[in-house]
Amino acid sequence: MDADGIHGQLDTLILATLQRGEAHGYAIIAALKESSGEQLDLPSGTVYPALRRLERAGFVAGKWTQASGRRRRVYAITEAGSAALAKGRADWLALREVMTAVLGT
Amino acid sequence: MNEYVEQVAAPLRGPRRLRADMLAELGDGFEEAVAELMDAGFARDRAVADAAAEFGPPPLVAAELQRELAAAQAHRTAWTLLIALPALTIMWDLFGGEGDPGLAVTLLARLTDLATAAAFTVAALVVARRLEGRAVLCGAVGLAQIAVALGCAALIAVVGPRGEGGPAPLAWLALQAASIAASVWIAGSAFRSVRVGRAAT
Repeated sequence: MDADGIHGQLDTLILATLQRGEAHGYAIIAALKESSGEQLDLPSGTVYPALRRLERAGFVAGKWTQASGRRRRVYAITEAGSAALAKGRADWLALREVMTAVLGT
Repeated sequence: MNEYVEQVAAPLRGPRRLRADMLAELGDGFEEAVAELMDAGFARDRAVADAAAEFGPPPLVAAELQRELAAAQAHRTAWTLLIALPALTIMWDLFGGEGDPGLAVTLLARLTDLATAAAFTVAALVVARRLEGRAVLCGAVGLAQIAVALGCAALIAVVGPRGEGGPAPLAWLALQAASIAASVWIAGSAFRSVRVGRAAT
């Protein structure tokens, strides 16, 4: 699936990834690819601004860390982020039902 | 800074610290992607080219980062308006003198109050996230308020009463100095907000 196909869903996908535990940007990109079975063809660079957008909204909390000589900004999902993820899931399921009904598959 | 990050950074405008922080994070991620590809056996040049393709076109990433910078600048300018405008209003109400200034001056003062209220309302909505990221709007109302306030102040200086009822000379000087300082602060922040917001559109 290309970037247009997941337009508007990236934030929910990132939140779902962070619900499994805190992670830095590149680890989130890798997890998104792996959990989608390499089906997600997303420009990785857009994940970083998305993380800042989520942080601004209060859905994730980010902090710089230093590990093995490498500096990384690590993110954790917040309570508000978990609520947003639950809403994102519900919205997606509702949309899927509508699409299935209309497309008749 | 590697070439890819330099290309992303080139068009970015906005708060310096946030800009540097976001680019540092992007650069770290990019280097991690390069290192992973090199671990897989690619030469560095090839790894850098592949990582750049994986990260996406620099203008696309820059546009997304610019939106964040615009939101941050809008927030900053909104707080400037929320602090400076009430401070200016209270200062003039307390120390601006007593007595009836006449109809013309009263109308001009009310016009300034109207512009102040409009700018304050927009700033409050930006901070409350009802107009989040509207950097151009936030800057524009700030500049409009300054223009109206300066215009009205100039007219009041021409048509206003002299002598009795006005503030004492020292208080008048202090008021003018504080007003100029606050106006420069507001105008600077508002101008940056318009500039950063326009870069995001």
